[in-house]
Amino acid sequence: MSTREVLEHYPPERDRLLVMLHAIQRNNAGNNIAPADIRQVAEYLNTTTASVYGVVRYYSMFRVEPRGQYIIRLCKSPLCRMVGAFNLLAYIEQKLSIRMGETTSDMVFTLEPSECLGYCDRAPVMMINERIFVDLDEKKVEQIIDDLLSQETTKRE
Amino acid sequence: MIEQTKIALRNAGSIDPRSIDAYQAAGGFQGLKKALTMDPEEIVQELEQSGLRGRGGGGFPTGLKVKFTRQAERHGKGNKYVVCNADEGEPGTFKDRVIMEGDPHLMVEGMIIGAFAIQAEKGYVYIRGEYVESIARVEQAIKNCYERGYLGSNILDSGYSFDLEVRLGAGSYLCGEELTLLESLEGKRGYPRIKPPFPANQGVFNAPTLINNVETFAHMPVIVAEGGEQYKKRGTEKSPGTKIFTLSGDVKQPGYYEVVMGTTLGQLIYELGGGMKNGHGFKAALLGGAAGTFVDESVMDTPMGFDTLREKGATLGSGAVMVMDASRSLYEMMHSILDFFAHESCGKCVPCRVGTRMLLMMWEGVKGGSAGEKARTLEQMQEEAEYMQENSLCPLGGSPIISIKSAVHYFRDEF
Ligand SMILES: Cc1cc2nc3c(=O)[nH]c(=O)nc-3n(C[C@H](O)[C@H](O)[C@H](O)COP(=O)(O)O)c2cc1C
Ligand code: SF4
Ligand code: FES
Repeated sequence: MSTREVLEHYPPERDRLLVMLHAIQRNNAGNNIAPADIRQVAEYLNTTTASVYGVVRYYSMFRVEPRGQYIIRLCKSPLCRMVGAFNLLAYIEQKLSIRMGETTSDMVFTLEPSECLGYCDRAPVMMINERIFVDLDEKKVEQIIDDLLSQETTKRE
Repeated sequence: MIEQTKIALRNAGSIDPRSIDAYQAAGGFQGLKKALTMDPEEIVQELEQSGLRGRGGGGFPTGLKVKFTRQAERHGKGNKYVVCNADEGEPGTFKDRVIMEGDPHLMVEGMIIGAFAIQAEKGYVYIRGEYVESIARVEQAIKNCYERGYLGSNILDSGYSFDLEVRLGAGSYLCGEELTLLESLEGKRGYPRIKPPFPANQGVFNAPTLINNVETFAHMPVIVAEGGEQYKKRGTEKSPGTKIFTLSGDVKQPGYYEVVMGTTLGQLIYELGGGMKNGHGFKAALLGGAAGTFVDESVMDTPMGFDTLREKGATLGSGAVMVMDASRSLYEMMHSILDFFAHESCGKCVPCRVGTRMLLMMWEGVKGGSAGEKARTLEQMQEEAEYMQENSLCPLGGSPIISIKSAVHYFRDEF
């Protein structure tokens, strides 16, 4: 779907901006909202690009730069930190050879921090795209990432 | 042995949350059906009578808020609005998620009742963007309600009409603060508005707006169905009803528990939570999330209510209870909290933008230091955080003082 087609699902009302931006981001291969998208949104809502750009930049779930196919959001809020979120972070960074905030060179994974994801009773927690993963340890994380990687290779073959 | 008393969670986990028939079969919509036969003024009275206080953290009397919004003048022929705060971002809190995922029709029913009481035309549920399943469930429930005539024009032939839609957040804790939420709902950046005016007079699109938390709305159907007097029999004098506590950390059975107000921390941890795990003893609990308070063993038998905890220098807040055993580092926990606020400050005003970072640097500066050094630094931080509270634009700048003060009070020499 083109960004224009995504937009046309919604009446051109400013209060729907965040809903639109989520939909555009989900629709884009790069999991991002590119400058060209921002121009189209501004036009659709009859507002300035600067004003839409400001919104995209403000909210941590939105990104202008292209990201990987899978966005790993690792919870670093107090409870997850207490039970080892930073050890997991170090593990993921090493496994994927990226730092927090970066994307793997094959554009498969992006690693991002998140605040409390609302599963603190099952910490540590992470979200990958729209799925939640709980009760994590290194082994579990390794399994999850390896599964996604093998899915990717089969898809590409 | 304490038992759970379920109002907001009465169906969660036991019915299919996607099915409006299941909700109806479990007694759903009794409250709304009754409400539509009442004078809206009477609904306000029942809510006031019930003594219900906001479950989003502040504990403001709900009936009073509904009354103010009902009395507020419309701007010309303009609308009144109802907004549900489903931004749930306070670390340690996940009660609203459980309601939305497990029994979304209950929350929607509560919103329609609130809307009818203030005669609102339109409502929004503002859900945080990460809550994918909650979003799907609430959207489904709204769709179901339209199909069955509980939403839309001329609801159940009452002559009353009300429309409800979902709006999304996108990863900002500050947007849970009600005035900031309203900015975000209008499609803007989440920069706070100055209070007053309050939402009751100038809320979304500057119109009178009733904004309540998910759990607060989930209590309204029961209050209307059984009457405020009956509802008030549960809980304590000043904090009637039930509350969902979300228990996490070093307990055997972490999770969510709905109990009458006045239940003690000890009952929550040792009876419902199965006691401490890992064989270490209890050291501390953080009540109410990052904007909450540290407490020690001495609070174990205090009945938990808004006022009873305040008397102890503690907070009920959102109902988050994070338990730390003797092996945990309070220093690290405080560090996470300061990190959290430094990250979530929107940067609009200097006291908070600079202050949150300064607190973090001060605390990092005593890492590995002696207990005495830490205690002295904590006291300096308390002064700094007090200054922030007085001079910040919005309540986020006034949040770090809450945990710091409690840390000084309960654990001054134990960092
Ligand atoms: C920084 C900050 C974050 C907040 N986050 C939330 C939240 O996620 N959910 C919520 O219901 N209330 C939150 N609140 C409280 C709201 O401002 C407001 O008091 C609440 O929506 C009122 O509803 P209630 O009276 O039903 O509790 C927050 C407040 C502050 C200062
Ligand atoms: S107090 Fe903090 S969060 Fe609130 S307006 Fe100022 S900088 Fe922003
Ligand atoms: S602190 Fe990580 S899910 Fe709540």
